[in-house]
Amino acid sequence: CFFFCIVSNFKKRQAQVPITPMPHYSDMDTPDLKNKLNKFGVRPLPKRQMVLKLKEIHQYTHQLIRSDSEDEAPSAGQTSQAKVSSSASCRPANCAQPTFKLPTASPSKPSRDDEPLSASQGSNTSSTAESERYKSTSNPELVQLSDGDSDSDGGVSASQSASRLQDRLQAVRAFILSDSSLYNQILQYKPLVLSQLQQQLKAAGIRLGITKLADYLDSQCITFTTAKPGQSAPGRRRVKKTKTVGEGKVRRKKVTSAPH
Amino acid sequence: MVVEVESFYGVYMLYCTNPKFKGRIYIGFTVNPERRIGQHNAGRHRGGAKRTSGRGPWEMVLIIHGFPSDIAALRFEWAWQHPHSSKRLTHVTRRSRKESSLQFHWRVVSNMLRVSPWNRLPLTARWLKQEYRMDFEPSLQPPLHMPIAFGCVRAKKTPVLPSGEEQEELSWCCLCGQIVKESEKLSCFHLSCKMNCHLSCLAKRFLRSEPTQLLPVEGQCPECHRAVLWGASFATNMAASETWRKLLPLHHRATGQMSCRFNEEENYELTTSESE
Repeated sequence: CFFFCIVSNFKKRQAQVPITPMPHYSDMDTPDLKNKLNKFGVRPLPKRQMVLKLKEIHQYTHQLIRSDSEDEAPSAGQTSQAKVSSSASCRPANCAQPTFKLPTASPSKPSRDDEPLSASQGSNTSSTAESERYKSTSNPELVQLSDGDSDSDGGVSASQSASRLQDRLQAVRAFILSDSSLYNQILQYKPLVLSQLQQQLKAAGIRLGITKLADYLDSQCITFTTAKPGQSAPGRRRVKKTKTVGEGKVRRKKVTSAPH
Repeated sequence: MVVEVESFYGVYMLYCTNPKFKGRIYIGFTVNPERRIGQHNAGRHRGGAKRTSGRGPWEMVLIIHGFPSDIAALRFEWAWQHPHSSKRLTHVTRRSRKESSLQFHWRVVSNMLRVSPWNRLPLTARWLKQEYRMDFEPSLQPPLHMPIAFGCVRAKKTPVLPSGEEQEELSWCCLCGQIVKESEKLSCFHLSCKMNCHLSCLAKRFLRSEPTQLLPVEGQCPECHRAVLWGASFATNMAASETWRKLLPLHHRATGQMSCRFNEEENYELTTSESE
């Protein structure tokens, strides 16, 4: 059928030598690969992946488009085939459009679980199992602190809202000083549960966005956690797949020493 | 002489001595540094991290300890590992070409100790290996209450207090004169000094020079007038119920009391060297 003709043409074309020969990405240096990807808005990746991605991009950008108005086949060898398919006014389903969006990876965000590239060459920054759990659940820098309430004042100037914020922070300070169990907790460096504190403040008539509250506590060097109260602190217990031989033996000993 | 510390929470830096790995650095958290370095060098099947397994040998060269809770230490660890993602370290520039990984990480941590939320914590910067020791840049000196220490440190097992009835010894606050409950009482480190007071009373006194702050850092014992660090021995863990509430002596770098000889036993006389 008509459609299949187009598809088979397309496939044939893909098998031919492309218009511009593909550069030897596999022989290029990592910095060069990074620069090339950067031009497409793709973040640095492991070398192998960069090579693959660049090849993919090259294939995308060096396909022929089979529509009447947009025939991008400059070489003579291609034009005859282009003519053949240009009579079809439809595009094959898998044809690339002239303006395509690359499947770009977003620039490294802190919310990723795997290690973002650090600036130091060869640096190894990772964590124990216990820290991993902290990172994904309790780290105030990673957890998206959603501001449930926002200032509803419309045309308030920056200085006005700043002074309003200052007032609220003063109120927070006064609240903490007035609540002796809370203040004692802080003085003993016991971490506060952020959401709980926000609720307590709200009950006292002090409405403060959770991010602003976190910023204030940071400025005071007051430790807080974004974990829900039910959760334990980033656990000390590691989830190990293999236990050490020694540990295993100890356990067994205990079991067998049951009174008999 | 090894310094022993109870309720130990530390964030350390490892250095790879294998020339193949070109001075690679690893940042981690531990409650027991001696055990931890052994785990790293033994590999992931013996508790070491995957990232360091088989990429050694590793030396633990620097450790920041004195965090009052695991949560505080873990956040510090994360920020040290991801300075460019941390909200508090936007002023820390990326590693320059002439900077080694070790130098870069030292620069990052030097910055961290100076900013909130860490600059009021009772931290100690300790070089465990003399040969790697670096000085703080003149512009990146840590807060005066933070000692710079040299030599090994050992995490001491916290003795289990008899639980059950809270010993309700009656004490009076030397500042406000009211009765102090055990749960809100602070005592002086020195055994000869009988000072007792409310946490909040002494905090108020210590914060006289810093009226905008809520958490004190240092001050003078109202009875014996010795310079003290606010609760370096406060140890908290969300799961633990026991806290230690004694003021520790302060070695203030400004007054030159801090001695920097390698391997010298220093401030924490609170702990006794028990055999484990």
